[in-house]
Amino acid sequence: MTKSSLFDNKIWKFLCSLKLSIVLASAVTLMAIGGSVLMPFNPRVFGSLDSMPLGLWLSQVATRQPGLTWWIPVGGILVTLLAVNTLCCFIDWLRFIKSRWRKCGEYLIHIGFVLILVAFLWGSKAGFRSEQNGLLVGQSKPLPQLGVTLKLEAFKPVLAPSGRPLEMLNTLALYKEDQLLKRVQTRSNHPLIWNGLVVIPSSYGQTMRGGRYLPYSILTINYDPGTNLAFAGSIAMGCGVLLTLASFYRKRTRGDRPDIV
Amino acid sequence: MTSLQTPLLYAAFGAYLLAVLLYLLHLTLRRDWMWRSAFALVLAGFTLQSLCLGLRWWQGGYLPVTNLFGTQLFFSWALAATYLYFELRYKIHAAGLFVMFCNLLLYGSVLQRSAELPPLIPALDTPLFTLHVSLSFAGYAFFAMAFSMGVLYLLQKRLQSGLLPDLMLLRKLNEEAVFLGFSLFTLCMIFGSIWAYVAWGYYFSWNIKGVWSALVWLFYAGMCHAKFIRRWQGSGYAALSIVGFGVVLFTYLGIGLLMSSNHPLD
Repeated sequence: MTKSSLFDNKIWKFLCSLKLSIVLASAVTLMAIGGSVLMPFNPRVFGSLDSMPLGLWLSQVATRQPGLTWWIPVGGILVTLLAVNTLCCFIDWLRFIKSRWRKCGEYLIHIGFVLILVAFLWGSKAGFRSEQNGLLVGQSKPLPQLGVTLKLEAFKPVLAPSGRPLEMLNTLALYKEDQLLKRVQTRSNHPLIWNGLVVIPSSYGQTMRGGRYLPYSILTINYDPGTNLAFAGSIAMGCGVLLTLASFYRKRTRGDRPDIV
Repeated sequence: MTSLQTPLLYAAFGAYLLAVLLYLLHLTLRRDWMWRSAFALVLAGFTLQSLCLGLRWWQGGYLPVTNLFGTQLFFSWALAATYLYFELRYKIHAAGLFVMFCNLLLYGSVLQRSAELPPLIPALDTPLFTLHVSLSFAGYAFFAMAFSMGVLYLLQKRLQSGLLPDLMLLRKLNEEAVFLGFSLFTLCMIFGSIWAYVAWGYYFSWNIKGVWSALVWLFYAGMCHAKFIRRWQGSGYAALSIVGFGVVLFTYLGIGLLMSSNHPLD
């Protein structure tokens, strides 16, 4: 098949069609509006969605309640089709970039959306999430999936006068065998981040050791291999928005195509 | 300084109230001095409200949008800013009345709540929070303006009134409001996702607030495309703007007040 016939046919035009985008976006929106209404009333089913990757949730939890959860995989398929449609539009734009370069802001938003979705699907399939990991100072936790070991080197909870924990200051170190990969003092909004691994101080507890109470840190350990790709997608999207805004005002100022349409 | 906050709050409310009354009078009597005075009053109210917000920001050391009082005050400020943007650019006069009504309604309920600044919890102590919340309400304000333009478009199509802007201008304003709202809301979602990642360890939450925020984004992304389809131009687009604002209101107030979410308002 020649390059020209690959793009100049009905299938390609259908894949790039604006109407297809609107039909898919509308279908996802309507389905998610209906489905999400079920969420607050079924916390046992949907409450664990943030505690595990979507792929694991679909295989372990959703399969037990298909009547309540079917809209999530079906919505996922529709969003994926929307991303395919968006990618085709982007490729089609690339073919005529010389004459359509002024639209680069809009198409950066398109490719940003595709990258974020691919990253999300990748993380949902290949990532892991682990909560309630209690570590005393000096204790280590091997992460065999990544071949690294996490060690808590220091810990200090900061409490409000009421006794409520305000902040958890942890010094965390990541080792590969005996080699130190990273050492960070973590607190709120400052986690340990390394190659898709993120370690968040979430809470603390106390345990009796040698006749006295010792505080221990409770950590959330998540791994998502798609994080960097999602970040790249969000940068593309953010730059796309700024370029689109600049282009919009430039056109208005010049009186060039004064209407949006 | 704290004592200055209350007079500023009430003075701004008074200015907005008078402005709305003058705009209503202008709708029936059509005197130029009426809309000019109303515009001056909105500008005065906005300046006073900005001072009040700035004062609260300076006192708290953070953008005070951590509770219902703070978010409503900021949302009403964003609505006034949106109105001023369209008034200065297109001289819409009383056509933006709905947005000013929304502003008054929000402001009225703000005055009944405690203005006390809550202490900032460490989880909210990040510029990502400030960017996420301010861009979110700026986006919501443009969606409210799009709703207003959508309603007026449908009314004008039926009434063909000389009191309202012509259909072409209303359509153009509606599309511009949706485009600007979508742009700001996209940036809000990006900063919110980065913040969620460093705070919770994942960038998309399946909490109902997260799901509905994604729906708002998807809905308005669809609207940015729908304007290119002839069948959806005009009345269809106006109807979508009305439906879209319903989704926005549910996402902000419905979920925040009626449901348990990770974005509690009080």
